[in-house]
Amino acid sequence: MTSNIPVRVPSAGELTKLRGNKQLTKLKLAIWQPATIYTARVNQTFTGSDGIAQLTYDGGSGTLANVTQGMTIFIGSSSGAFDKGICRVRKTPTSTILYINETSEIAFADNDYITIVDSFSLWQRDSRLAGGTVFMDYDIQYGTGTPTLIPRVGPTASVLVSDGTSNVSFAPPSPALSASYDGASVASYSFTASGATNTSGMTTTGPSWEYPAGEAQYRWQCAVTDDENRSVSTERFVFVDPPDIPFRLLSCFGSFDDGGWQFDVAIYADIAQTAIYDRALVVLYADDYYQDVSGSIGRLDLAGYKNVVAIGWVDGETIFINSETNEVTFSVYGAAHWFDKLRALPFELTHTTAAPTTWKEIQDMTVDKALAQLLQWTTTATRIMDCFLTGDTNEINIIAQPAGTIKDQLKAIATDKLFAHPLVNSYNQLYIEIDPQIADSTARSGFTTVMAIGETDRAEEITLERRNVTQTSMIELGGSETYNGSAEVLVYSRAPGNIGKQYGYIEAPNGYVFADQDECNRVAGALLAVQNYEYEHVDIPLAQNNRMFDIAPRMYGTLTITAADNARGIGFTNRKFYPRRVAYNYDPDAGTMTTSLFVEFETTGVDGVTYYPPSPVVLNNVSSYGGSPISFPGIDDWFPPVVFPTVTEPCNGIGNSYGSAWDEPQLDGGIGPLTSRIYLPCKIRATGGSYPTSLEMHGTWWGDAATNYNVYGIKDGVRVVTATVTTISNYLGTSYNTATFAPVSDTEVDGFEIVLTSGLGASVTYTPLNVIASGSAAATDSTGTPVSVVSGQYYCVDATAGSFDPDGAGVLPSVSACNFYNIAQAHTEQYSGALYRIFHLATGSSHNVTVADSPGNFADNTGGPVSWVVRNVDAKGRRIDLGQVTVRNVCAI
Amino acid sequence: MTAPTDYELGSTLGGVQTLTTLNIPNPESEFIDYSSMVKLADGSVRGLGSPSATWHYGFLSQAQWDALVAICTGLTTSIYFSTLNNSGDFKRFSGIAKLPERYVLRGPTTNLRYIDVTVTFTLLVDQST
Repeated sequence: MTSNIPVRVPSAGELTKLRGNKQLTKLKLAIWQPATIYTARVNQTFTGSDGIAQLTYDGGSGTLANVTQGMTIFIGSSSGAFDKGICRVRKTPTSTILYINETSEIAFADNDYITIVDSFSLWQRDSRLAGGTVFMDYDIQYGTGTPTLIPRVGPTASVLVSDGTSNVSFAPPSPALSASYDGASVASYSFTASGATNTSGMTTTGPSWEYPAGEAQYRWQCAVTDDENRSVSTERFVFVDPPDIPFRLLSCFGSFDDGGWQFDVAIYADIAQTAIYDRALVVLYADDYYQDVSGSIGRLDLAGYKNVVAIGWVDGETIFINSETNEVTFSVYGAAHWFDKLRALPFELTHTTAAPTTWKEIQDMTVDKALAQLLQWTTTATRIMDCFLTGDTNEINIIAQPAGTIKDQLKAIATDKLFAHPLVNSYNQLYIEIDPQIADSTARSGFTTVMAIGETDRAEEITLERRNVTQTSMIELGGSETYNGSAEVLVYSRAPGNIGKQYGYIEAPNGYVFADQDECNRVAGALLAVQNYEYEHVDIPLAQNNRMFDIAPRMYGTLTITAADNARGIGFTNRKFYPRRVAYNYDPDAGTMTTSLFVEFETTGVDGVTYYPPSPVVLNNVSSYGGSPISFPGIDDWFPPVVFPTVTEPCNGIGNSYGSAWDEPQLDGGIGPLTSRIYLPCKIRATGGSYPTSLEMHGTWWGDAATNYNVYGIKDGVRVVTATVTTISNYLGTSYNTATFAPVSDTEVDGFEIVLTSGLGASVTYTPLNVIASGSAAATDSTGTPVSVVSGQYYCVDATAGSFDPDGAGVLPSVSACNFYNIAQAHTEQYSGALYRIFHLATGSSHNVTVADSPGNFADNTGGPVSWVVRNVDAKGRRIDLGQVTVRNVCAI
Repeated sequence: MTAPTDYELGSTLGGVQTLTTLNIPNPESEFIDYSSMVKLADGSVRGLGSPSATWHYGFLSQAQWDALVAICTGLTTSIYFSTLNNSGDFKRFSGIAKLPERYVLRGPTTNLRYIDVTVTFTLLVDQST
């Protein structure tokens, strides 16, 4: 069996062919003509077209059992037509109900024609919030039967050409790279190949079968099952002896900037207009000859794949029908284009250390786990294509993204956290990999060097655009260490150092995740190097029919240029490069196809330096306004004139709402303030009415704040009404808090007050900040080193090197920690290898750092010394960041 | 199949016949080894693409023309043929035959002549390997 890795080194014989004369290519097209699986007629009336998720039907014809989840449905005004729209089979239909993707864009009507065809496209699968529960693809609730399991079984399509009389053999790549991302593991595979004969190994990683010669198309499936007996199926498509379609190739290229491939064609044949529909699957493939011998050289060295040039789906908007010349011109795009078109809803995923209970949680969340859930459960991608992920194991606390496209979400998860880019290769396989220029040396050592490009490989001219002034002066990189489940540790780095280069801009990318500070420093240096890459633009035209390079997966080529061959004397030997754009140039009359590469030379950075940004200054943190019982600021003292709204509605009138803002934006249970107010003279409506008075409070409740605060109506400085507080989630899955009042009678107030209970509470997030002191503690030092601190603030003491034995047993333990001597520990965590940091709340102006394991017991200590640093700490526990507040249903005084 | 020793033409590989048999005269032929030439970085030249060939006739009689188009049935036709290469050997190829887009007819209808007929063969694949 052949591994499903579409990158390899051509053999010596293949290199000889690539470097020889007489390279002939005949390009051909295969267009999937989906067979009709089932037809029916809509059998219901509709009051509107909003949010239709199922259709009642009758008049069914065909085998209902052959209707499969993911199949395409045509809705038309006549049999087989799709003039009204196209949708998707969401789940197995019943004898009277067809379940479709929830849609509002098709004006369904009774007796519409339903045609279910053997075609699978790339779709989004929308989430839905109902009754406070999130469902995937309309009605899939999170549970034990919802695996995040990514099957990887090869390119989306293949093309087999027989000799006209004999069966043609087919063997897909091994599915062994399939993977689970929810803690399970892959257990078995089962292949099904309808229309095939002589099947073998269909439950192994090396299946094979045959198809009869002659024009036909087939679909095969692989069901991947995990060790919890949950299965995910994926579909692939095979063309056998596709008919010749006269056409002209206008362009064919893949680029890093576009994220994938596209090709443009003009067809001359009398193709029925319905045969080229939006999202038709098209394969561009080749009949290759090298020195008069038939045979293709492809990255995946398997029959049916090595002759494939590119795969994609028709973008219907470019279909151009010319009545005089009968020419149809259209563009075919791989999945990258469609990811950028598919609408995506907003999402928020949070890390949990326990087993998740909703779709919004992922246990020990990494980028890959988030990507796997997104691709599997919010798209149909894993149903029809391979999706390879980063392999990064850093954990992340929260990932959130507003509404946009699937590509936006992939970027938010991967690119904005790890510098990993979603790229779709010419085989329509998705690779989300950390940019090779950012990857470390260990990862780079695993990249395949496809080919050394020499003077007999490339055409005469090569273009080098050289940059002799750096464009980036400094990279100030920020992010967090891998999340440990409780504390987010921020890390920062500057490259080249605290002083930038002479030329260029300062860039400050932020929000990434790293293994540790050292990794942040390394990446900062790598970023600076690639942005100041000496050669801005390198075009390499190859004088050969060479399809061994692609934009993904990551791969090297090397280039040699002789200094004597150019006026600038630029020369290098076997310089590594990454392909960033690959284009095929085809001359149908001559039968020649050559390749143009746009490449980026490999860069290696110098690690940046650790950088600690200054602590933010909290402005307007006024704890007391003094004066009147209601501590509002004097309008003419601190704020510009403010006109408070006048409530005019009567208490027995209709509802109303007033937007407002709290006078204190943040309440902190540790350091205060604890109270914030709104000034709005009005009456709170009595209970029992249709429009109860409430406050809709947006913001973020940290720690246990959600169960430790109250809201009051206040009059003359006195709390006259107490609200009932609840948490509400809206249709977008976001949350806000509501305070609802229910006084016995209409009650006059001057405004409203929110009060947080004092204390940090049980759930505290500690964030180490800048270093304020450092030193070394001897194992028997009972005095320790004094460090100036501020009472009431948090600090941590990090052991940075060394270890000691606390009981003189003679065995140095593998772990070590330093303390503020005799000061209570607020929190302890292992932060780097076998080293600990211990958090304290300072109770004086100076505390001593020692390695004491218990008060006064230093005499039996051995080993050490232990190096330490003391850092400021931002301890966030019970806290409320107050946002906008809407006061509803108050009435006039 | 045995190696060709004369000009041949046919719709299938097994059905090729000499032009003489088909009542078509032997042409003045030209053979181009490569459709495209690319200069490489080391200064050498690589020939890419397939060979191409042309057959030229000063004139063809009506009967000879009819025999030709009986096999080259359209403006372009997939055919098999044998022609002289630049080594002076006959080689058998598959390819696309392209008839002239324009031609001159001369003479009475009872004795028509097709003047200056050139048939072009492209995308040749050697059938002897």
